[in-house]
Amino acid sequence: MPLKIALVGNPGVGKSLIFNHLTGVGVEIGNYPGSSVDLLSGRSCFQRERIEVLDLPGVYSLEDGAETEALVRRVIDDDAVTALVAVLDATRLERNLYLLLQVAEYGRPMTAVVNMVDEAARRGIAVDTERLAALLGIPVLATSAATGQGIDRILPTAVLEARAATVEVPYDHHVEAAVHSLARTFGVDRRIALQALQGLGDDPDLLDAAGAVGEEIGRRHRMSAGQIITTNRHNHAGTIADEVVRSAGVGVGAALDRLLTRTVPGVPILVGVLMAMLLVVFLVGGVLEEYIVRAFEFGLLNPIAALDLHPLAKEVLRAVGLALQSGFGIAFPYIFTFYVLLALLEDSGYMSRAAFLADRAMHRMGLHGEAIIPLVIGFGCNVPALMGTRLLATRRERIIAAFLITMVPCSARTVVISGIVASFVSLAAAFSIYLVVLVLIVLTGLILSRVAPGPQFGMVLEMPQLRRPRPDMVLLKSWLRIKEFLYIAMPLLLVSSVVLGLLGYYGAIAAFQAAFAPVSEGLLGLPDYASTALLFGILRKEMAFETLVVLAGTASLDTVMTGIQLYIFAIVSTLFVPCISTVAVLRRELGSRVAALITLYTVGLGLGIGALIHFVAG
Amino acid sequence: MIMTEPATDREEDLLEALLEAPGIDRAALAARLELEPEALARLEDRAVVHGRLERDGRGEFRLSPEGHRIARRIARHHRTLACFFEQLGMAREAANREACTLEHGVSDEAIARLADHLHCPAPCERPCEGSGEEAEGHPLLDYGEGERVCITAVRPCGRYRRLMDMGVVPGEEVVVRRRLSNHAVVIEVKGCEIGLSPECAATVLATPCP
Repeated sequence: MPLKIALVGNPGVGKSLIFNHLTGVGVEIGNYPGSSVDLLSGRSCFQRERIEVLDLPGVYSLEDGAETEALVRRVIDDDAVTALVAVLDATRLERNLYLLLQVAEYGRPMTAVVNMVDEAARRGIAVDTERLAALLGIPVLATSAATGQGIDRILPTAVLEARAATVEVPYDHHVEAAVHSLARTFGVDRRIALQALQGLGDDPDLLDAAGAVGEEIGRRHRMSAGQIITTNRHNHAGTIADEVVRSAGVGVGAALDRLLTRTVPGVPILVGVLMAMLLVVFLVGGVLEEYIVRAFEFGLLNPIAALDLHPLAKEVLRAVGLALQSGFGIAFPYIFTFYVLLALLEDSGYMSRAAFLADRAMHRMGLHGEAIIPLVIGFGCNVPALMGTRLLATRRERIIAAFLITMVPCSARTVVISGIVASFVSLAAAFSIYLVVLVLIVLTGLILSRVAPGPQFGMVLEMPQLRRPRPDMVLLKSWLRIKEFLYIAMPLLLVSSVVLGLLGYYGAIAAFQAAFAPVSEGLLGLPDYASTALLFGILRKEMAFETLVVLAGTASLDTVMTGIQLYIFAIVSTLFVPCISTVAVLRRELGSRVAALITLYTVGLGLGIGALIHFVAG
Repeated sequence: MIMTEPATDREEDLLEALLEAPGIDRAALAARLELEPEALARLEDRAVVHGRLERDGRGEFRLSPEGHRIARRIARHHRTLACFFEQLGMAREAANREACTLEHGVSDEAIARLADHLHCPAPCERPCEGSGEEAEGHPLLDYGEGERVCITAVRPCGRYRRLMDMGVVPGEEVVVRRRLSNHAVVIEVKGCEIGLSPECAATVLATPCP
């Protein structure tokens, strides 16, 4: 059996960085059997044996009811996993130990890694890892993923020395009694009885019994059994931390933070930051894209065109070449630029401040402030943004967020807007499209929150310290993200491009153009070939622009279409139907019904707004 | 000395609204209760006289411990009744309207029995209602920046599991670091700063540390 090691820890403890150190290239994103939550896995080697390394999503606890926590529980309990590596943040050891104590209860072979020791040292915090190892009964390493210190010892320790922890949380005696009696009656182990007391598990009889016992405990303590268990664990984590952490207590200034979280100047700063981000992506992306597109033109597409092949094979090759061209032409200039800016914001700790600033406005749209994070990610690409909605608390919020995200103009739509409107109409007109879309997003949110009312549970977010982002970390994070994007979007791009090529080859597109012409001409006032361009836009948004150029037969679009026509075309293709990759992810994340509903809504909205502009201005 | 009179139905509605929408502005509150501003002011004055509302440092009204108890009781009545009517097949709107009328007259025993009978949704699925009803203290919302407070109870509703996992547990000492203009609160707990939106901050009760 191959060795398999899983990294588990709180969010933001540097797990991903360690994972990246351990595995290097060859990372795969996949689903764990029976779960839709993505899991990063990579390969490594130790003593000529192959090791699979899993990077589990960051969690604060194993016993939350959410899907992510359920996945982490399953991996921890999976016998195929050889060893667990609990990654702890040296600067927040006490709270991190709380999770470790839960992991320890599974009795699986494990080892602990106290990460960020360099940052802790800067803040006057020292952790006695030897003492910690003695208290927990497992090997403990001190590392710094940022500098690479201690990383090389993780795999050897995990493979050779991992063992079940000996640490045990002393629970309240009523809880202990209940655990004993449940464990005896149902023949389960301590950990399962403890989880049953908190309502987790899948044996209905056990849950029933545990529910009754738990209620009795709750009455006696005026606290639920779950609260008592949690409190006991926190207290034990506190006791351990007190013994191993020495802190000189270096305080941190809060002046900047104060500035960022007040309505004024916080909100203007937030708006300014977002605008600046878009502008930079707009400018940098536009310049870089030209070079990349040209390189593919000369390096790949022209040679393909020159090949002497069967027309069908040539069409397929050309489609593959086009997919690569536009994939890289979008991915690096626009999305990568965006991801770098996003990583800067995240690593500086600004995003959680933004979430709180936006909380009240988001409430009006039936969401919480944290939804601003996937919405902002949507400006880069809707696909990872939709996956980011997992952090929202309820399905209702996820659906509302998904509606709004699919309307956010992603990088590909930025290409359409800048290529058509900014180039041939005016920069102001291009920005007005953003404005129109923004207004529509807000309106959609307001309406959805009325149509689908539901309880709002509120938001609890960790506020990381504000700090200066490290350039290497920012690049690394952006690189991991763009890699994820390429893994998910590239295959879809290739397939859809080939399908489209074949459709064109067999004449299906001409038929579509004829059928759709009345809508295109009558409703939107666009030339008939524009409908084909819009169709291509469903596959990949920026293709709407490229196709339009090809079908119009000229790159000077202003010679064949009026300003209003170009404007209508850009706004319709921005709004109408999320691209095929987005629809696929929507379906996977929220089901076919929601995906269909959102698609229909955007078609209606796109055509409606296009028609409105046509009849008012045209 | 003023004789304490039991709260009227209107007053109970007011207390319930303040529990459910902490930090609500007066215009929205009046609209929610379908009252004229003057009538709302009279109602608030009456609640203050009878010790069910207090004025905080900034002149805003907040629930007194007694007001809290009443509001939680009425809110519990409301939810149980609404849940019952919905299970009978009524639309949510109608069920809520019906519950609004009946919540004041119904006895605690009837509600307790109804709740047992219904198996209403699990705690994490329902918005807030208090166990730890007798717990002392004020919601975190009521404390100012820099105050060091001890958590006395976290009401088991909403995001309480996440709160508890982050270390907001009874007995824990926390510092209120910042209060945002939208009533969100940033607290320091176990050396980490965490932000709570107003709904969540309202579910955490605390007393000033000795």
